[in-house]
Amino acid sequence: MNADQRPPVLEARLEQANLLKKVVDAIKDLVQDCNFDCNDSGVALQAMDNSHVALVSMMLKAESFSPFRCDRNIALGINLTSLMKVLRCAQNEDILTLKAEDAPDVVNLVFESSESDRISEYDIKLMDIDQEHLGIPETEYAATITMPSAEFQRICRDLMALSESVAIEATKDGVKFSCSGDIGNGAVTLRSHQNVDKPELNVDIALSEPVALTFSLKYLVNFCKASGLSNSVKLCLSNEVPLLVEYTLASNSFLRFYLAPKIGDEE
Amino acid sequence: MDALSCDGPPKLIILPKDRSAGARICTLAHPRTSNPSRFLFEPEKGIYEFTKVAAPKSTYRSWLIGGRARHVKLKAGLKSTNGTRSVERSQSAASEASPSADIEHTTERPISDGYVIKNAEIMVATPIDYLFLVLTSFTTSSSAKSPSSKRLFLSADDLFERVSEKSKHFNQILGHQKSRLAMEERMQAVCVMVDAGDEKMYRLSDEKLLNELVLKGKAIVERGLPNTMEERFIRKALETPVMVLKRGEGSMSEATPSQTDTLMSESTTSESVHPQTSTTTSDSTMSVGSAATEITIPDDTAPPPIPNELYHLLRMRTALSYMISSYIPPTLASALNTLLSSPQSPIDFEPLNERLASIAKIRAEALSSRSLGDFSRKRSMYEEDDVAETRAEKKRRKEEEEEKKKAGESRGVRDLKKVDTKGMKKMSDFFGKAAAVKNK
Repeated sequence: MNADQRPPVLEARLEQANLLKKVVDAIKDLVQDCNFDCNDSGVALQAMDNSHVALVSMMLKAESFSPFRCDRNIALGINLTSLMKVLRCAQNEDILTLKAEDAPDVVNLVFESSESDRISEYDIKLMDIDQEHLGIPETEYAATITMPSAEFQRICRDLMALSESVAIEATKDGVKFSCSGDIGNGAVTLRSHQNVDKPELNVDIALSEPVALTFSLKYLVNFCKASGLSNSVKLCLSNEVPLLVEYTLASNSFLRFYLAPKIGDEE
Repeated sequence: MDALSCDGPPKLIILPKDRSAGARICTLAHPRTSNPSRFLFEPEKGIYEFTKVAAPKSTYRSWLIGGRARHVKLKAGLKSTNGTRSVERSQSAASEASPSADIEHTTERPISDGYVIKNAEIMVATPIDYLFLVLTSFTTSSSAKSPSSKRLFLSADDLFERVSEKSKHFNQILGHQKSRLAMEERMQAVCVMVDAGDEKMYRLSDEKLLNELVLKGKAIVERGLPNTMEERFIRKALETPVMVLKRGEGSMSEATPSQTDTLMSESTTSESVHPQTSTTTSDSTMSVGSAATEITIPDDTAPPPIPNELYHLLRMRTALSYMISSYIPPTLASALNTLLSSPQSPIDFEPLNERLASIAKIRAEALSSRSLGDFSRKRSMYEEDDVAETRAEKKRRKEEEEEKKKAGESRGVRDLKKVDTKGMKKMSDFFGKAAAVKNK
């Protein structure tokens, strides 16, 4: 209704509601409320978890939408659980349109069924969120591992059964995920692997120097909820800096997670 | 005798003026505790107890005692305590011999020969009734075997002997005809007597003793209680709660003795019992507040709703319980207290009890009503109402907000809270705020 009276400042049409659904689903278990910063280049999101040891950074480029129009920079403070509730009302193949006015109270979501003439429309109340924004520099990582996202998810889940944290060791021989817990210990080692038939199963390790770091598995498992967004995941490691877990999306959009390594008590 | 040869620091003592040559400081059993205590015996005027007047412990004060100049100055400082008393340097140990003898020495010392007394206390000699001294003799007889039921008639000599068993200097007092007569006279006031030949035999009567105390109490009330006592035991006790006191006042009668004891030991003020007889000089009180007390009490205490009789009754009771708890041996004290609360009591405290009970009830209600939302209890009733309301409101809102927040929290977020993040640095340690560049 609001949208009818005045032309919205933001209007972003997503061919598949599924994308936003999956993104929000992956983030909502890490962050409760966050700002969606909209400007003419797209929709960006940066937020930290409650403990401030992990950070999620999402960028949905304007090219991911068709069309995308954002006349003014606006921040949409949304509770992700609420957003998820509304997004669940959309079918995966629905066309999703995000609309917001200038200085908005609500964000308007319209789902259009691709098969029938069904249109559903929802408004979500916005909130003022005071979040600090961190500047994340482009970093040359010592080790960059690209692997199937399902593989990474499986490793994390398997090792989670044994321990709370995992040591990731990248050497020229391969990458080793190892852990030890009360019941014993376990390790999964991956080597570089090229699968010509199924390139999505490739494991690629780019290494400038060996790296060994320990991370909390609970957080990694949480990141893996984004596995459905992309076939492959990129792990970037350097000593003493946060691990970057990146899911690359179509048209240069991405979903990145950063996690601080565990220092001092390596198990 | 030289003061420095004695152990213990000197004490500053204020004695009544115009002492006779026979005046002595002597050690007698304290009427309440039977502990040896110092008294001033003045053959012509009677016996004086020493009351310590001191600043509260929190204020650090000392005496500088010098020669004559200092001597005068001290006197000037004490002018408010009406009547001139000589300030004399003496000490507890020296007093046994001839305390008055060293007045001359002290006053002639130059100031350079002064002395600093660490504790700024003055011992003030205040008259005490002989009655209280002889009372101890009755307790030994009654308490040792069976309490009060089987009291024997005893001659004055026997009774005095009992006192002197405990008080080594008592015989010196007895030696003076006048004081002995005075003591016998006081005994007659509280005892049932029979004549056995040419000798009178005495037996203590609780009723008579109580009547005597009531007389004393009346005298105290007439002159007014000291300000501090008036404030603490009379006004506070009868005021309907504005500020809630720590103690429920239903227990007033039991609580009073201990309170008076503390009051005594604090010694900021004290009230000496004023006897009716000829044994004492007329100005018996030597408390800091007493001079003012006489003026202030009647008018600034009685807000209309509480009748004056109640104030009078409570003052009476306070005076009595003060006397009983300070000067009457414990065994006799309990008998007196039961007698006071019995129907045979010379004073009917019933209206007072009812009033105190109702006040206690109101206080209890006030207490329970305030304890609902407030645990600090530091606020008065007036701000209480609206402050409590706004606070409750705030609390409710906060709770609601928290609940909402919880509802907006996904399971994953909740689970992450349990993760041990020990050893993990915050993101802000790695990435600078906004666009700050960090290269690695």
